Amino acid sequence: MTSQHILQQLESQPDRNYLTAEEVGVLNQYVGSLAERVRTYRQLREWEATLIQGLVDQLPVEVQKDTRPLEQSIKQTILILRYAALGMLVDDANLGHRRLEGWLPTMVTVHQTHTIDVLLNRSLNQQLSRLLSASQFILLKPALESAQQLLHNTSQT
Amino acid sequence: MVLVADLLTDTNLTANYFASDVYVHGTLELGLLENRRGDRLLALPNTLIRAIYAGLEHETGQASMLVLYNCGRWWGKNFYIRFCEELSDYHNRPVTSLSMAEFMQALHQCSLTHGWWQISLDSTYRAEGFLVLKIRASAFIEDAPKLDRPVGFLETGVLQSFFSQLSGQTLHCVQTDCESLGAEENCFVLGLKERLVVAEAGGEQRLSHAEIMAALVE
Repeated sequence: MTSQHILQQLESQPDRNYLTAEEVGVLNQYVGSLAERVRTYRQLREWEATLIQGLVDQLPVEVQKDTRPLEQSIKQTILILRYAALGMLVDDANLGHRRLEGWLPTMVTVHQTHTIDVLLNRSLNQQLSRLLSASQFILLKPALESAQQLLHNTSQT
Repeated sequence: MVLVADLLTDTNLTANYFASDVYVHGTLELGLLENRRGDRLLALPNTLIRAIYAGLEHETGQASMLVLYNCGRWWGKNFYIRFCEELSDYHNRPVTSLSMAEFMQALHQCSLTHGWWQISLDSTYRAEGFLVLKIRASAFIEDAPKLDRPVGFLETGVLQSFFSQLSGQTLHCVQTDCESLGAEENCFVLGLKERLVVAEAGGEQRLSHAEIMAALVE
């Protein structure tokens, strides 16, 4: 159970009993990690353009030449990163998955970006694990991977 | 060379406009439910939908199918205008610049978020001049009276006027399969009226969707 769930529950059932000790523990942990989450979020915001440009520049030349799918893939990767950052901030790892699930798989199919998406996202994860501290990366990873899963769900569309 | 900074000039990247957790808002103190542009939404109870069917049947009998079909056409016409307006405002470019798949994705998500149905396009017969649309779990067909024929009257009207405007041609629509008759999904075929005569006849003979389509492209 995440703190987001607990807060939502609390909001929808205000007349419920007090939270259990376990739930308060989860909230407490979240609040304790909040400064780290805000710091990570701020860093991602500042790094975004440079970080993604670095990934693009390292792509094989023939991939870089195919600009239309590349541009689409870059946008998709940025969206994934932004939703992951937001999901990490508010402790809602499925935020990106939820918002993008009806959309991203269609775009991957229509614009045929799957190969580039895989390349970009693989190096995105590698780069982030280097740039962020271990504890920061642990905070971000669930939200990031949950959104990236959608890149592999394209067969349904 | 692709510059990421250039792609980020219009700061907001667009994605899934109709995603349900951002599309529906509420000003609950005022009793208002709104979409993300502030247009009013309301939730229809199933009993009201059933009451409309029953009331129409009682007052107009056989003509109720035609009334519903015409209501659907009216709805589809206005829905198309609003749908395109919202989409083009959001993406900041005309709807015509979207690919058919992107357009259909938005239409599908829009219908889901409003709780109407799931809709998909089957372009198998596009080259022959027919569009096939498939609708599952329609809230309106679910509550329609059971007849020995397809009962998606509203849907038929909506699809007809929606896709007529999209294609810029006056299209006709015939329902060829119906969940109320045990089909897995509701199928609708759109095309020029004179070319759909066979489909109308096939429907009356209770042919399946596949049989009707085979007859149409023969």
